[in-house]
Amino acid sequence: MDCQLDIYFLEAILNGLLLAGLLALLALGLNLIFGVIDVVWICYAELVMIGMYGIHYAYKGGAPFLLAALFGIALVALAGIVLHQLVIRPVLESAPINQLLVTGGVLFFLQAAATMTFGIDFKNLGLRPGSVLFADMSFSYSRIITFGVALVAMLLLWLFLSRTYIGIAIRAISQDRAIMPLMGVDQRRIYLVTSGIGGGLAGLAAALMVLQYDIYPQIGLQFGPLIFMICVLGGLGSMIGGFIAAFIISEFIAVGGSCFATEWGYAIAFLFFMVVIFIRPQGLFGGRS
Amino acid sequence: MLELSNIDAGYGGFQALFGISMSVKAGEAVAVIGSNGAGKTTLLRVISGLLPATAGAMTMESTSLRDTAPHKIIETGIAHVPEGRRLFPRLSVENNLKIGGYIPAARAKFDERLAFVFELFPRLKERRAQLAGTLSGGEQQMCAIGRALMSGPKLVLLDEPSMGLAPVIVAQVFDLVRRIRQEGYTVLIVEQNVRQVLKIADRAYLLEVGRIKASGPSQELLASDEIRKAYMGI
Repeated sequence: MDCQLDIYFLEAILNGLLLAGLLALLALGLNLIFGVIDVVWICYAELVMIGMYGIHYAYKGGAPFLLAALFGIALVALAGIVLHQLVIRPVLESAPINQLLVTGGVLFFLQAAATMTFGIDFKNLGLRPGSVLFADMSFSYSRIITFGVALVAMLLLWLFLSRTYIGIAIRAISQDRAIMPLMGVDQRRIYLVTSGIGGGLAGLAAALMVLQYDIYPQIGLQFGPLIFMICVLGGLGSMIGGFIAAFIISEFIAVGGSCFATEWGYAIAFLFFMVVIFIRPQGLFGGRS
Repeated sequence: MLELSNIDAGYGGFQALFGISMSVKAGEAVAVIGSNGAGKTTLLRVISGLLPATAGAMTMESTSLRDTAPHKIIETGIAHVPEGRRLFPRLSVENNLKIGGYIPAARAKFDERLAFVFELFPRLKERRAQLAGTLSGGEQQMCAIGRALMSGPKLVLLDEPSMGLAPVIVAQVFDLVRRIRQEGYTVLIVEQNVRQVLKIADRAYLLEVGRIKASGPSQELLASDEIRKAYMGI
């Protein structure tokens, strides 16, 4: 064990913060979908994977990175809308277990399809923006960019949800679905917009992740469980809760990983999660059961 | 303005309304009275499209409501203040009002109508930034009525506005209804509080287990021994 309050400890805390930006962005997308449509997209991280491949091929095909990133965001936004229309809509009235199974099925379908189409080898864009050294601590630029972009994206989403008619309808629908027609709100349209935004957030996460991570068909397994854990810990459907939980979990991973080993970081984070869920099954900020 | 003829409706295999025919003319205040379970709330839900009618015809100023999608019915000029108020508890008062003016025709007039609602209910202006869930019962009813007015309706459907409120607040709520009448809105109100509602309505229909049993000017119904015995405990 190597846990002292030294510069490495501080570095781990700051790296945890940087990681939290990305995880918060992913959790926000999933919470938005769940809060509005009341369905959990188990395959959310697989949409991110599709976006990463899309960006990879657009970039390798000659597009500048920013254009490739925009293409990835649009691609996954579209994938979210298609997912809603083809898979979610038919099971909207079904039992939650069926909804989980059907989006779980999409998860395995996307993984298998990616393996068949793109192969199992690790791909990367070859973009490695390097690191910044500050007071003997090292932080990668890609993590700093990711953190900044994720925060800005979350701020923009918050403005959208609090200022625009559609944004307010999105928040209203998660509070009282049944009376939305009385307000003149077409529920199907709000669901499509929400699915598109949820997909777009996954696409944005993909654009940030290709800067840091190799792309392979199972990358969703590395992030999917983590995102669910964060959403449930914060209270499924609670966007603020998910945001805070992302920081808590990231710190467990980063500091635990720095003090013991990376695997221990994850183990401690999941242990903490289980203890909280025993005590507060609705999550830290969950209002409903 | 609103015409119903031979409307049937129900939930699953259970029929709740049988051959309802009624009308509301522009400028009128019409009450639907009856005991719990008579089908009063169901009737309003059918008019605003939350529950589809299974038979009959229903028109609002010659637009067939049965052929109109539920979320388009508000655009014909019908705003429904639902039973239990149903505000969005975690939205501010102002955002609740804003969502009431969601339809495209209402958005351009948002500022004007917000000023009108605040003038009608100054209390809402004081509380505009507060979450709707933290309002008192009477204030919630103001907010629910204000939300309905934001769409610029011609006809306001009010479902049991006095429900769950303390007696002193009930009197205030009937006063609110009187005020929106004076503003020129046509009102269709459903109430169990028969004596009070007959004082503010021009005409009333009596609903019993899904059928209209009596109708006429409020004064006549107020004078009817049968109604006094059954619904006013006299």
